[in-house]
Amino acid sequence: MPRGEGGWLDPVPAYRLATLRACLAVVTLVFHVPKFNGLLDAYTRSAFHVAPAFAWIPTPSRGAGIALMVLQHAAAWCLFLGWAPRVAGWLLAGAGAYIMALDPEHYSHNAHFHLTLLALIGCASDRISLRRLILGRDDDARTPGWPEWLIRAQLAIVFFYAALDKVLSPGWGLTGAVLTGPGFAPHAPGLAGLQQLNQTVLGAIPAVLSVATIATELGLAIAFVVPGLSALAIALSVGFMTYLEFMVRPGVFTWDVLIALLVLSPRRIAAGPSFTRRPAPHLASTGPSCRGWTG
Amino acid sequence: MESTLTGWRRHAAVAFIVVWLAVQIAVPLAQKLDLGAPSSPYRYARYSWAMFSRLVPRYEVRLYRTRAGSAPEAIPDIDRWIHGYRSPEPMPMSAIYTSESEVLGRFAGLVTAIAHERRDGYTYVAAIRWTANRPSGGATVEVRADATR
Repeated sequence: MPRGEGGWLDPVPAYRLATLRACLAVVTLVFHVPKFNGLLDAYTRSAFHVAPAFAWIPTPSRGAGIALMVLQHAAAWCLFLGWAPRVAGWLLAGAGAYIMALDPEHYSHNAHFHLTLLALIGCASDRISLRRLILGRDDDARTPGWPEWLIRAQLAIVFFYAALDKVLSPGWGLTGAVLTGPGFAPHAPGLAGLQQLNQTVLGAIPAVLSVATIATELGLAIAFVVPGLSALAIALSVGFMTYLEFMVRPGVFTWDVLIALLVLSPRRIAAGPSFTRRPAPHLASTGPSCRGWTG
Repeated sequence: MESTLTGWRRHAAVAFIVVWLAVQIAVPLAQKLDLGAPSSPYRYARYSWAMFSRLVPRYEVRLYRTRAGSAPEAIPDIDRWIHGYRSPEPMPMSAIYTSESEVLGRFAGLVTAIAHERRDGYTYVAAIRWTANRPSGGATVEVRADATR
């Protein structure tokens, strides 16, 4: 967190978490809810199930499954609009954890990360609706900053363990064997040539790129939590995530990480997404840094 | 709006932060290093933030039933057992987040459940052929369940 922003429990400008929540809700509506409702639909249409992660987890009936699907949709819209966002965030996180626990095949690291963000945004107590955010009536709003800090810590934990996994995995380390495996399927129109070039480079110097990937992830883990390295964390994350999304394999992880970067945004950018925003009196001393996106 | 935490809210927030961080740090480590095992080897595991860490094991599974000496037949109503499954043609699948034993366990359980319900004298078979990046040796495994009358 930039210098001078105080400790974990101190108040911070509320629009950062409110903006993050609206963006996270969009990803939830576009990627997460369709996927998890699809899993639940298939599960409740099937007569055979493997044992869930814990024996005490109840298996949903078809009716309960449909109710949960509707509830997930409603919660995602509530999250987007900022209506009872804490309930909506935790409901989505809880429902997702339940669906993931029903069958090992429901698990994915991307979904796991999305659920952690939903739970953490469910801790935010900014009470800024989407309407209020858009109209710029949140200039004076402050909220406890600990959910922002937890999101930063979560990002650091994820990238630290991703790096550690690559250090220990026989497919990475000093061999980079994973990078010489079968090519990734072409995706994103107009980028086939670049993706082919990327494949060639990966195959030519896999060990170097393996070490570089581990170093990047470790660097990110440090930058997310060390005060003063926020700008580096943002730049490195945007570059790394964009590369993964367009050169390697598309996935919701990229969008979740990019959204989570909102908690690292400097005050002058994050002073508000509103086009009509004016500096709040108590922030006016920071001068031009409060003028919002269009400042 | 209340932006400063005081009283029990402050204590609750601190408790939540401590518990959250403890879980988020301990669980991936335990999963990754399999701390319950005697030798604590590294393993690829769920809940361990192991994105892109291994080449995805892929396999084809063919579900069918057969009677002694007869050709494989389609399992009736296979879609009722697991929505989206087909029989008797092979179905391409990946085991990105599941282990080889979990794959075998899933299909052994499936054919056993079908045989147990039908009791029609057929043998229900799941033939699993690993097509890429199988964790252990060998390429094809069959699990069978006799539906004794």
